[in-house]
Amino acid sequence: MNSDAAAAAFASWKFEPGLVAGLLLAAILYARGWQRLQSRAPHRFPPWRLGCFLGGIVTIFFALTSPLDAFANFLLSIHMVQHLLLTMVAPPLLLLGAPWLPILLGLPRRLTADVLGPFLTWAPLRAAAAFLTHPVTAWLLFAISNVAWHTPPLYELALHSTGWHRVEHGFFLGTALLFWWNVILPWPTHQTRPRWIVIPYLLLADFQNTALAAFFSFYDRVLYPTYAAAPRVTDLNALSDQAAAGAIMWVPGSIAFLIPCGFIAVQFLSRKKTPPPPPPRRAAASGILFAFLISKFKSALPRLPLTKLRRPLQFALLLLAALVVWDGFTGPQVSAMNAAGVLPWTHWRGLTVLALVFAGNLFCLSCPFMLVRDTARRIFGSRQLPWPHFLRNKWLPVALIAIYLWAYEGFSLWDRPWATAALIVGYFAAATLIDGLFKGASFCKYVCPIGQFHFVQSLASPSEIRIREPDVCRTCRTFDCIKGNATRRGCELQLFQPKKSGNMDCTFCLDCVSACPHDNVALQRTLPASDLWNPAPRSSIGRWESRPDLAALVLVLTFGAFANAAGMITPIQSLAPALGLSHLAFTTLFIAISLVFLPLSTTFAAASLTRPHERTRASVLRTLAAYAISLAPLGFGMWLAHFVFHLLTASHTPIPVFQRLFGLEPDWTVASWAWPGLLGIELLFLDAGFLLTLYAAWRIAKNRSPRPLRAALPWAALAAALYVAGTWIIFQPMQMRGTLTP
Amino acid sequence: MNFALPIDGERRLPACLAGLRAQRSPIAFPAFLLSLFLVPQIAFADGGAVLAQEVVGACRVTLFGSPAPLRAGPADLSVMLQDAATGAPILDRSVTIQIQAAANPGSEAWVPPCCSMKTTTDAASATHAGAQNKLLYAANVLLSSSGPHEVTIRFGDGGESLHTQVAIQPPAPPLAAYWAFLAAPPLLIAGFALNQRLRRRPVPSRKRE
Ligand code: SF4
Repeated sequence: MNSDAAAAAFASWKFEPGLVAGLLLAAILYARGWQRLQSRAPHRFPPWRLGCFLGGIVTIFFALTSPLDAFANFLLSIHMVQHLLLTMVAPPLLLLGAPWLPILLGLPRRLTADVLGPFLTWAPLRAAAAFLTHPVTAWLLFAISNVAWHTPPLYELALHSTGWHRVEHGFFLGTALLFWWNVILPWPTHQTRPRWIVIPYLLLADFQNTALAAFFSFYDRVLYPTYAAAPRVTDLNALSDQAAAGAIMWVPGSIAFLIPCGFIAVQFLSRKKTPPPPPPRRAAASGILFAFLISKFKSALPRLPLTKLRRPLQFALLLLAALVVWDGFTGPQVSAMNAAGVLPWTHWRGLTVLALVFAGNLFCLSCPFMLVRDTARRIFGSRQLPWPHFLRNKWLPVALIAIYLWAYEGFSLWDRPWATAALIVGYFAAATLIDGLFKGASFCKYVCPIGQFHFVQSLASPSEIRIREPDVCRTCRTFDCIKGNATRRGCELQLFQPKKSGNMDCTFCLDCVSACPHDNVALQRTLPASDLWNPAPRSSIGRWESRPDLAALVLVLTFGAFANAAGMITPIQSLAPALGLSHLAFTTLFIAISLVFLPLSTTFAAASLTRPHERTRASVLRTLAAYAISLAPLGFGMWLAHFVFHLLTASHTPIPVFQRLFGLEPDWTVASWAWPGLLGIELLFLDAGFLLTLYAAWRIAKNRSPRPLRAALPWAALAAALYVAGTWIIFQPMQMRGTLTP
Repeated sequence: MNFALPIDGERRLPACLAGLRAQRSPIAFPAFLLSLFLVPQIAFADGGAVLAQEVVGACRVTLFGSPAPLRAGPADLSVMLQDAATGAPILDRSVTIQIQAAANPGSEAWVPPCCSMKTTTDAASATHAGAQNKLLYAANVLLSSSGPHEVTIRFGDGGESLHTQVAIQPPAPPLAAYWAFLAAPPLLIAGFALNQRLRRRPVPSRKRE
């Protein structure tokens, strides 16, 4: 091989995000747990254990992503090296890290205690574990896996199928972990059998390995047709490559068995009485350094200067909105060529829902409408009217959202840059007028459909604005977080921090954070969706069960998520001509069924079925309102699947639009981040939303019913029906909106 | 259960860990690592099975296809060019792969909705950048139907090419590639139900050490 070819061969690494994420997660969990154990039992978890475990992780990474993997289909000898790394190197290294306890301690405590805990004490599982780790079982599994996967039918199957290749590697690693478990006995495993049995255990394994290796080395025909047909990339022909593979299996393989065998033999022969456990020592310097780095990283997170970032973010979005409006009115009226066709409908929507999943309501935090509103207030002065009482609920935004979803599909808003620009201008005008005339953040709380969307979806976000210490609030007399003070305004959405719960109605404006004189309010992590099953009344909102308007909001957004996605799939689009209806008439009928008839009929039916199982017989409407909120995560899952689909399929479309806007020659043939795995990601979002909804319904039922399973069942059935519908939608041919593809 | 370790180290460690020791489950860790391998594979690796190998002029040309056997739908075709005399890989050609249905097309491919925009083109350009194994030239193509297909590989400026025929199998059912995502909710629900059942068990009184 010449130097160019050698360089190309060494550059043949593979990027496997799933594997990298999994290995990283394992490393992080171990390191977290090791750090805690290191400070408490440093002699049990010295730094070499961390080194061994990470070495095992790196070995797996190297075996599966390095050029070894790229050439495994060309050379049996290279493939053999890959397998030896997975069976002889990675497993002992991982087990020398005594991974069991560090990984358990590295997991969130609640997950370990509540989710894994009951399984860990489950007798059948413990019996299965005892059976699998019994030396005879572990040895047989290891040997059978080794021999079976080297038989030509199975080996060829793995060579020809990526999926089976993974299964093969899984078997090698899994059985090798069981095999080496008996050799290493990772702490805190008890030694229950005489240690000497490990010597024949290893020698017998070496014997079967040697027999297989000798067969490879001396067999006079090529065993695997793939290697006979593969182009030769080295001087070795297929037969000598097979012999080389045998030698690799034989020599390094035997060494891997014989070294621990010798070590244990020496240990056994020079055995003394087991010394008492050494006294606890101080944590090693590396452990202290590690702990220091982690604590620094953790403390840096909540101190992100969000209050300072807010204005620049608002200005940036205002600028973008101005650009979109200008291009919408003056640019080409083709959605994929216009900033008004590309930025709001594909990128803004996709990025804001992703922000909701990973952070929180970041759009409202950087909302440009508020910037204009604040300026208008300075102009109009401060003599404002109170927002009318009959509109102090969510019915108006519910109607606006339904109208928007109808107009979006009926008039193909996404495909009309001019209409999009007009909508944005109208939005700015409405926000300015309403907040200029009325007190507080009336527009955000009682009108803005975008705000309501974010309030509902952020119920499943992992962060919220919350007080740090309840005791500080108990002694507070100024209540600046809601009343404001001379320099800072308080919460204009009337959320009183000590009684606030969750993200409903919170715009992340951070006014309360700035106003609190005790620095007692901050953006903090929370368990996603946990507010859904909180039965306590919350400030300015009350209890979920007493708010049918909020239930309607959740329902219109949940059913709207499915209707909005269904609107772009071929089977639904072909219904209009089949029924002889115009597009607008069909859309009207479709929206009426999916946003009015179906939500009302199904939720009233579910509430009626739930009601007999309630502890206190509330009205059907109260029962409905209490449970309907649980559907929010499922709707969010569908919005995510839908918007992320558009974001990735139209990922590069802004590039030629900006080229055009800046006077460059646009290249409309742009790439896309669409790949077959995107469908899996969509399903993953839908799965997560569905499971969270089921859990929320069950928790609500637990609060309200002596028979929670029966009470939650109608809601679980409704969620399952929506989930099936969502899965069906995801698999259908879809319109590539926001791209030049029809 | 409280898994926090006491600060006075080894002296109290055994008592604190008693619960964990009693609960240790050696298969949990192997199961965790194994799960990393069983994440469903949606992308196709380049390489795959050898579909054709021929000497054209001074070049040995090998065509690979993945998945093996090739099925209607997204596929990876890759080409290796070698000096016919020495076997040295040739890395500096521009390679195009043309694939066309030879006779009446069979069953139509199912394409994930997100990828329907990548319509079948007559000729795809195969590059090292598209390949994991950088000795290969690879291209992702969409095989629109099953049945016999004519493949033409053009490489180099001299108009050298290799013609061959490959059989494309009917498409795999759409759910085959995504089964794990659909199986996850029922499995997790079953796991949750079991978890709740186990949590309601009476806790056996633990013997004092
Ligand atoms: S959040 Fe701050 S201002 Fe509000 S009650 Fe608590 S301490 Fe007082």
